[in-house]
Amino acid sequence: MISRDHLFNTLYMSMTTLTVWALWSVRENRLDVYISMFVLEYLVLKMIIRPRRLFIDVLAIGLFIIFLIFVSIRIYEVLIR
Amino acid sequence: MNIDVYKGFGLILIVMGGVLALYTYFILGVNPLTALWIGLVITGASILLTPSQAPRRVREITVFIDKILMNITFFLETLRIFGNNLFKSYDGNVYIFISKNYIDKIPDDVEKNFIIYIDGEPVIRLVSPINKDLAKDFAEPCPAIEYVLIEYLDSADRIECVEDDDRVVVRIIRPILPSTSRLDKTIGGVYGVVAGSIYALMRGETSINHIETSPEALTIYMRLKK
Repeated sequence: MISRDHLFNTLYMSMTTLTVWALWSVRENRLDVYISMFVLEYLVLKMIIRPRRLFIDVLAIGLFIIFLIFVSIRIYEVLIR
Repeated sequence: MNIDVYKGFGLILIVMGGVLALYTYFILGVNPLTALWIGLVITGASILLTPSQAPRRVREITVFIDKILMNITFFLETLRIFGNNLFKSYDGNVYIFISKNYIDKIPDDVEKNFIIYIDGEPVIRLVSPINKDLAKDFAEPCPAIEYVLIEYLDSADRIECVEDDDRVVVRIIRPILPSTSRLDKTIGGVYGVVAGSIYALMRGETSINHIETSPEALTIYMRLKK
């Protein structure tokens, strides 16, 4: 049986590919939209599948910080408009 | 960190995705392709952070180990030595000290005998089956315990750990080995030995205070000596 670590990595790779296809097909060109979707997919899949990690999940922390930066920029843009 | 074929694949994805993302970004500008390569880099990093798969053991072997441990416990209890334990690591090996009385500290230059005397009290010294080689890939105790108990011994469904200063709680969800109260009192059974030994290797001297069992989980309460 496939381990949940491998299942996580396989599903994540499939989901990022599908996300690029879906956003590309609606002519989305903003990079932060793609990356924010990648971050959300990573965090949601992590909550559901709970893969093991060698250390604390530094990747999840890094991605979450990037996500917060993107969201802050969007909020800032709305506020100064 | 040991790089096996799977992690090597992750590393290749990071390098390849990084190079392609930069190349696409500087040649074509912001483009969905750039995002695709960034997705590859994240997947590669995720693969690199995944622990290696252990050779899977059959459950019968785990039960066999449990029975051996039970015999040792019965022997110790016949000698009326049970109650307090302390896990201490020396040179990558873990030793379990068991005594009738509370063990506050084990000297570093302790004799390498089965029975040693500390403050005039006899203390049994056992060698733990867990050593640093089993946990060498890990920096945190909880993933290492999960690796040994689930990947290696196939003896539970999942592990949860909570650390608060010097107190540690390790919850073993759906353990396959029956809990024997006699065994639990002394060294905490297979689960206690694994959890205590790994914490001793990574966090220093550890003792198991008590163990709670329920149909769904086995909870080990430990204390780190700081």
